[in-house]
Amino acid sequence: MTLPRPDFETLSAYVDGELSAEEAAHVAEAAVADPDVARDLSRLHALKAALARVAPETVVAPVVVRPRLLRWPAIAAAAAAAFFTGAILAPPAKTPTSDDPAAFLVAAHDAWASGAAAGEPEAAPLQDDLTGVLAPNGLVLSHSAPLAALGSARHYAFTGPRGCKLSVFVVDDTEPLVPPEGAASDLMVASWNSRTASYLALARGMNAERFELVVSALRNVTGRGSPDRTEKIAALSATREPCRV
Amino acid sequence: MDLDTTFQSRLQPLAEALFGYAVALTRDRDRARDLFQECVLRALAAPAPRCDAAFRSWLFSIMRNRWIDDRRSDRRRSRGLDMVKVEPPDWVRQEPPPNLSAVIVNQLAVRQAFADLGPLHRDVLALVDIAGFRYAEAAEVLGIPTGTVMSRVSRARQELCRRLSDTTALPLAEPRTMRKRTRR
Repeated sequence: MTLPRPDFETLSAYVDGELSAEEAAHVAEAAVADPDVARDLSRLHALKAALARVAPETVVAPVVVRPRLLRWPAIAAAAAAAFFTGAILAPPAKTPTSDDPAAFLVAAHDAWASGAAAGEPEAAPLQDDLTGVLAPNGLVLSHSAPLAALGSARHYAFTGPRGCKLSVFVVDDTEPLVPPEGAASDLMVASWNSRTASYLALARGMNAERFELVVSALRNVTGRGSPDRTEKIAALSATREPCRV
Repeated sequence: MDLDTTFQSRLQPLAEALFGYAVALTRDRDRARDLFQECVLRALAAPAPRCDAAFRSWLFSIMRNRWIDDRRSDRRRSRGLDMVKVEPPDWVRQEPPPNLSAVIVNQLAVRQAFADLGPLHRDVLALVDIAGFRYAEAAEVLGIPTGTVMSRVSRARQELCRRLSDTTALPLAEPRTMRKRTRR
């Protein structure tokens, strides 16, 4: 008596290990009895193995392993605390002096983005909380400098794979960084603070949705996310320009 | 920070498959990289499942949903240009199964044939063969019954086999310039 030949779908599921024990036994018996079935199974196994190798051929390290860097003590303290306030959309730089912190931060961002403050990131102290989140997402730390005019403030500047430029300012202080007031359509600002540190993210011309995602990720990493995410999305939806390359 | 460290340690073993899935969906390495980054960003901004199996399905679902959103946006932008290829449902196709004895499994040819598959077939094979999902897990990501995954995988492989069959394969190294020279 000859066994009925399994159809293609059954052979395919057999190769994937998705048949019941009874069905699998039937296919195995058929393969023993019929060299053509055995050959077909061999081809399907080879095809599956070849497809599995397609991914490694295409991968070029999409994930950057975060280096273990010196932590900023204030940020470690901020991690324990988890208390945040919302984000605000706003703009224009007035006079860039330390008397007007908001304008000063925008000016610092613009100076770096235009190349005036270009330079290698400082060796220490880097805030690996920020780099750890942003690096796997294509935002590479390209500049880091203290802002002595604003006390303990530090400027971290990140460049994206398509030229997006994002600044994150961190102050070791409970006094929140106040976003600038005004209306520049391409400027996006989000600020939040914990009990021990204050953060402000700033970018020009970045895709609004991406900016919102970056900020949400940063807030999660630096503590607990704020409950006003919907409000923030609504505020940021006013800017829709794609990131400039 | 704990959240970040935990997320990265959970993401890292899945990153290769996840990026492979992005390439399978987009067929474009740059676009796949963007899709991967958007997926990670969205995942970071949302509470992740504690169970590893659920975490994996969750990540792939985020990527797939993001890709679907992107395609919808593309269609809206290109409305009227008919740039979207519409595939008939699986049950409509009545082609006989391919003759596997004629199939030549060559890595380069497999990669090319896979890239030429329709999006439905690329999607399901990427989940099962590249990412190593069980049918039930793939069904969860795709939002279809497990039985449909089984038949779709089968049809995708049949299509792949037809493309790899030596009776239908086109010679890869027959550039137009050579044909022109021959005619002259």
